[in-house]
Amino acid sequence: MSISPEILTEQSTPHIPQNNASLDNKPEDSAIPQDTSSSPPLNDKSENSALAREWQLMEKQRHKIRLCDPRGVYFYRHIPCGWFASLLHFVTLLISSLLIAAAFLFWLFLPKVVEVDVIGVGSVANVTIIDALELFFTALIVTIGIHRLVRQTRKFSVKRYGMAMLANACNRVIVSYLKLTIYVSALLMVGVFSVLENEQDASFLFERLSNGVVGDVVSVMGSVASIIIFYRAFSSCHKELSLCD
Amino acid sequence: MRLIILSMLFCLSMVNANSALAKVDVYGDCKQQYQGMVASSFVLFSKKELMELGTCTGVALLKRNRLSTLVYSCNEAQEARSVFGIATLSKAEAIQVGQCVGVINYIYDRYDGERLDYSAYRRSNYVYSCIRGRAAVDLLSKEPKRSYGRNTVRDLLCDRH
Repeated sequence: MSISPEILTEQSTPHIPQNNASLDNKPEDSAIPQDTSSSPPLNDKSENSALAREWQLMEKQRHKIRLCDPRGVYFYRHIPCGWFASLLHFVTLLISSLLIAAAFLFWLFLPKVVEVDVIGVGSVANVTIIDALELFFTALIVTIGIHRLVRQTRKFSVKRYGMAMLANACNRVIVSYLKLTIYVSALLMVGVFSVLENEQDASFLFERLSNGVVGDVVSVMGSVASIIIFYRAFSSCHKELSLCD
Repeated sequence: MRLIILSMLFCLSMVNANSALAKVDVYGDCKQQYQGMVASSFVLFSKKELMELGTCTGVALLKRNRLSTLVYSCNEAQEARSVFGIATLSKAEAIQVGQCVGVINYIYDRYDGERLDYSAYRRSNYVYSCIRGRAAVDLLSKEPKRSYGRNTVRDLLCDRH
């Protein structure tokens, strides 16, 4: 049930409860203190305009086109999306889901990524256990999310909620990866500039980060980061719809 | 639901299948070590066999002056000492670690305590003393990245007394 703005404008004053004698106060109950100091009397107009402003904010939040905010989509699940929002959801869903699927298949099947030429032996797999675990967990998170979302929308059909949620989740993954890349690049730039002052070659910094023990730790941190990104993006898909929404 | 998980596990096992069919062309007489390996993508149960394969191929290449990736292999050997151990070790890296360590052990076994092999004209009682283990790996990984032969590696690792 939603509060419509017409009710607000019809009423001249909001309902402030007052301590009248018409209430159930019996004269024997003199122990009950009469509340003479009520809340400071507000001007009817200012309270109205404050409520009207808050109402405007709520309306704006309700009809906002959400592209990478799955929690917001779940919060406002009782508001159906407009056709333009659904169009945007569809287009961005196509793009980001294809990107994610391409990255996944890239890692599984492309021999140039998976294999490495070892001298004396030929091409050998260069896949570590942590790579495989990362692929497995991200695929698990995505499939469980989609499965639960489909189950919920089948039970309680809300107009185009499923596509909105899925589009937001996939876009959220892409946006989070972009943010992570930008932060890491910013850190690297700081490192590069601090090294360049010492008149050394900056490429050794990248070599140090990709090889050696530091490289292993960085790649493990990257795997953990991508699992966390997927989990946070798809966690709103599990949340249940119900009849009251 | 179980079908989904099973199909995903199947997908992951495709990673194994992809690499089992990969082109492998073992150098020299090392086919025996190659047969002993488990045909899987991961290093879990076959680290020893992979290192043996690396040792065999590394020594065979060194003897014919064809080991051009010795410094890379020793970089990988240094990496393998990380906190995560076998979790970040792949098959290719295990073979390379085997190559580096195998070369170092070969030089040590062949030359440590041996007299210098000068020609008969110059007699000398100098003897080689070679390093091995972690110090040798660290020393080799700092060298410039080019091709190495047996004598060059011997001169790097061994001192004359």
